[in-house]
Amino acid sequence: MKSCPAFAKSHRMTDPTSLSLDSFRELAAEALRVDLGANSPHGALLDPDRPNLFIPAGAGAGKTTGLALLALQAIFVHSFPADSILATTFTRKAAAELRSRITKGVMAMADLTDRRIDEPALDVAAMRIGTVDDLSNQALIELQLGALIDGTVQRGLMRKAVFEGTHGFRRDGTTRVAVQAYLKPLFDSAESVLGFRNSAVALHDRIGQDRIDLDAWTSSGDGPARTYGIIERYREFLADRGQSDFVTLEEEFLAQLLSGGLDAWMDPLRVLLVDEYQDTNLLQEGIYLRIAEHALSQGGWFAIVGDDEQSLYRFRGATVELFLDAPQRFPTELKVVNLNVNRRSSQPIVDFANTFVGLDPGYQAVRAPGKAPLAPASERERWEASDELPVLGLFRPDVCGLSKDLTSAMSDLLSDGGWSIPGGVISVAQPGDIAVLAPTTGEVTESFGKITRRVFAELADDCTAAGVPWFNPRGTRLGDVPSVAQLLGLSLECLDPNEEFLPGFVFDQARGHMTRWRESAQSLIAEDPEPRQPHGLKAFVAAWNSRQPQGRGAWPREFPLMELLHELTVWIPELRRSPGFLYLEGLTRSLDQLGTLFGPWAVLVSRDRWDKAVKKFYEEFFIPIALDEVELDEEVLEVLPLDAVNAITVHQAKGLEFPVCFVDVGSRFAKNHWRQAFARFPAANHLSAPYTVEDSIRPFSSLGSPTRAAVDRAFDDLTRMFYVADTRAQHLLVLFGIGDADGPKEIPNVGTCWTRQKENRWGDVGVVCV
Amino acid sequence: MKVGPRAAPVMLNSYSLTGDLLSFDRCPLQYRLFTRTGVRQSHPVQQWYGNFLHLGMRRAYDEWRANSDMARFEWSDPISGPYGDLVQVVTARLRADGLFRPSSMGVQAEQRLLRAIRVLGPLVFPLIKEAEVRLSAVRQAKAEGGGEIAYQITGVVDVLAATKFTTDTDNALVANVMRRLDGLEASDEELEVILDYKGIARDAVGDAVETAGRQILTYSWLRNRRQQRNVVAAGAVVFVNDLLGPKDDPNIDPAGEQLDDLLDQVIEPIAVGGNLPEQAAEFFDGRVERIEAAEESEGGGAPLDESWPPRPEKRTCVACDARYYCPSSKVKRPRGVSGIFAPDAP
Repeated sequence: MKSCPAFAKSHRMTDPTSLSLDSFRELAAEALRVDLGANSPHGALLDPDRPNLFIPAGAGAGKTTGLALLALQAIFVHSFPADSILATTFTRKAAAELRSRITKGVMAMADLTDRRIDEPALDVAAMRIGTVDDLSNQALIELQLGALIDGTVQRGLMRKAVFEGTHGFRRDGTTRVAVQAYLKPLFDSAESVLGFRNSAVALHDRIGQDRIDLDAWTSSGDGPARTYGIIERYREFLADRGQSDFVTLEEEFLAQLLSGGLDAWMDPLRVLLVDEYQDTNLLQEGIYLRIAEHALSQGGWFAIVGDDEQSLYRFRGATVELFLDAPQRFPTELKVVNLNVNRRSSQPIVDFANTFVGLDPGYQAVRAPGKAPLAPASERERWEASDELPVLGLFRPDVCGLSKDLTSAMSDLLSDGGWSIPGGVISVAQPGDIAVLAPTTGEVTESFGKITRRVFAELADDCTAAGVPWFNPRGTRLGDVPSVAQLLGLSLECLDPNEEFLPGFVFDQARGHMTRWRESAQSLIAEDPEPRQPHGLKAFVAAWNSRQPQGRGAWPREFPLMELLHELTVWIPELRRSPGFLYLEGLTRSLDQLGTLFGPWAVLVSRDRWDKAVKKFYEEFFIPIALDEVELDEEVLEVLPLDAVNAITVHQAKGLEFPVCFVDVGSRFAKNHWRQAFARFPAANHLSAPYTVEDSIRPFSSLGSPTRAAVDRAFDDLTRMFYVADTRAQHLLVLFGIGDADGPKEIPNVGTCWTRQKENRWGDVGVVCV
Repeated sequence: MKVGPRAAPVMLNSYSLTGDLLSFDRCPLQYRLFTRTGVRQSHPVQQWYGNFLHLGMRRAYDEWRANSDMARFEWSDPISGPYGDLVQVVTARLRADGLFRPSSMGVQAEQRLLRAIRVLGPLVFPLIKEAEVRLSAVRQAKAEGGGEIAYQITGVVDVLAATKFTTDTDNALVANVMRRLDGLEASDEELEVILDYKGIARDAVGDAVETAGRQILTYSWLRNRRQQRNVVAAGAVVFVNDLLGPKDDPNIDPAGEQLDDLLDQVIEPIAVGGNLPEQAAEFFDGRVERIEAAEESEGGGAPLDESWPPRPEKRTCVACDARYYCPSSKVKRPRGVSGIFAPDAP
């Protein structure tokens, strides 16, 4: 970076370290490589009056750049020290990117203004940047309050509360009957103990997120009162153990902010920057309001950025109205600055996105009033050629044919010759330039023991056969990963070769998986894999079966199951390299949580209580994995690999962009069946959570009852989800699904441009089918 | 037309001094296999012990600050009284994080903590300015292979002592450090001394003193940088395991000469003047470069143990879950077997 000290010095104001706004505008434009002219969208963010800002920003319109610009302005114009800035966003990946962007900007600005990056005022490491949960957790750790648990422990504790609250889930118990009657209309599956537990967890979360008036809610009927009895027991468990879940963590954080317990933590803060505000819930809004109030009282300011069109997290309590109504909900005037110039996508993609969100008259009422459509960037040399490429549709009559042709297209894209399509021939530089996005990337679905292969299972096989590197960690169930199946099968063969200690009741689905694991273990044993010195795998397993130690000494009284898993990985090298780590992390984390839930003995293979120990492993470790209850922690993957085609959910893809995107708009919809209608064309009589829950409990929140019908909210969410998916593409967007070569199947589907009035508008959007 | 490549997002990597850099230094392969991936190890005994000591000292300090006339802690079996309460709180807090008191060393850990509180508490607590101080900074440095590297470095200082440290010569700890550290003179200026507790004995690992010293020097660099002047006057590593010999009674405290002798063994004063902090920080610049080179090498398809060459040391290897497949593991191999070998059951 070129240094211009003379320029900088001549432009400084009386404070030797602060720049005039005009000087800053020039320097920051170079530092962040963004147009900051007076008429540019980002230029409008810079205002000498230091207003508080409300920034509706469209897809690809430079939200992160805008936030970085505001952070730089706070430091270089307002002379706020770096530790006075707090910035939040929605995911850790996004937080890392925001921190990087600000850091690079500060470094470039320091260079341009002849300042040193190691001045405390410029110390970006002192800025607090993260998700609201991370920041809450960090602050509370400093107060030595609470340890954060994850979903598995949460579900384990709730199950305990359910069993206590329903006297062992007794079929005719008064509480079970009353709570099930209350939950059934709200959730799909409150019948089984798992469904009951999951419903209670979801309700607990939502009660906290919507800050429900508990007295009013529990007084409204026997169902709510008894349901809350179970939730309250769960919360007592948490309190007794000194633990928090994500909701109680935020509740405690807000309580401490309001009571003064975090005054020292909050004291330096002057600037609050909030990204992805459209996915804020009422509890988080409380946190932001308090911090904003503090910043204002200290002469600071705040900015909130978001896009109502990209609100995806209603199921986590997100309430898009909090964003839309923000100018009225904050106790001070907010200056509105729209960012609508899309710097990401080609003209045809931008045009398609604008058309798509404008199709459904029913959706227009919930869009931010007066919001300008996305405009393509003017300086778009990089994308000139791709402006000739239309948005494509790729539809085939069945998932096998669909997968074959998708694989062929990806293979062509990766070849030197490229993929020949209307408008030109296109190729990509590397596999990671292609993303396949879908509402869910699951390879199979399982219902009553019947397994159905989805297009993602076919794609995994077809891509492997065609030599297209394929990466879909979310879509693969942990227990279905071949190396994991081997490891789990070997563990079972060591611990209980004859299924003597299997619990009395096991779901068929779990039993089927465990049988397959054992089969894959037996195949591996038969292969006699390396290492074979000083003995092979078969002898190792046999020694476990006979409990005759292979080394010196007696069989230990206790042996950690974790150690057995690690030892078995000696014979499964796939788990000792990427992406096997991801799976091994999931397995060992799951065991760790078992210890956290039930105590250290729960993860030990006990010589004298073998039967009880193994039964517990079945119940709490093997069966939950077989039922696909162990989630992978994708944060372990710091970035999406560049050397493979990434299959990712639309939710994961938020904030990301890819040169070529294939978007699944209907691979699951061969028939117009009511069971999958929620995913394409919701029906009022088949709605479930979160819409039913919102209708039920929001009257007891300051939010009040939703003003739109549940079915309309469901349509709104589908529109937003497909909009987010469609706007990830930079050069080429391909919509795919079941249909024929001319277009998608005639099944009502928001993703294929049907309006909620059942108008099929596919013909109006200019998609070219191949 | 060819589109892409999609660039990997530009990230400013953040490294924790203990969690990343020292862990990498201990053994690059173990760091890659477990620390970076989050894969849990089966024997996190050392992790429990380290946290137990640090949290125990912190709780004891908090109690002392709230009431400096607090009852003198006693150790008993089974453990009870005010010290029992403290241990219970700390043990429960660790349990909430999934760290359980290991039966193999629980009693010993409790006795050592008690000893640390009784012997070090009266010396250290009155000097504390801040406990568990989080420090962080961006390092921008010349890379060995040319060009520049930039990264964020973070660390937590156990104890930041204390106003007028050097003039408090009645304090045996201050006297000990003053006596043993050349060039540290009494001064009325507010200077700081960084203390770092180590849950090991001085002789447990060959380079324990050097490594711990470098850690304190890097904390000094971070602290000086934040304060924009050289505020750190000295450092001291506290080898907690040396406080209590196998025959010592945890309830009988050393005094006088005996205490001085003990402090000589337990405390390692660290000089932090001149260019030493910068040199220590530069050492970690080199480690960051190596980590990033290893990432690149792995990304290029090189085997893990080539990209992240193991640094075998018996003490580390015996508790490492990679000991059977690590090519350089220092654990005892079956006769006639080299390289990867099968574990014994169980």
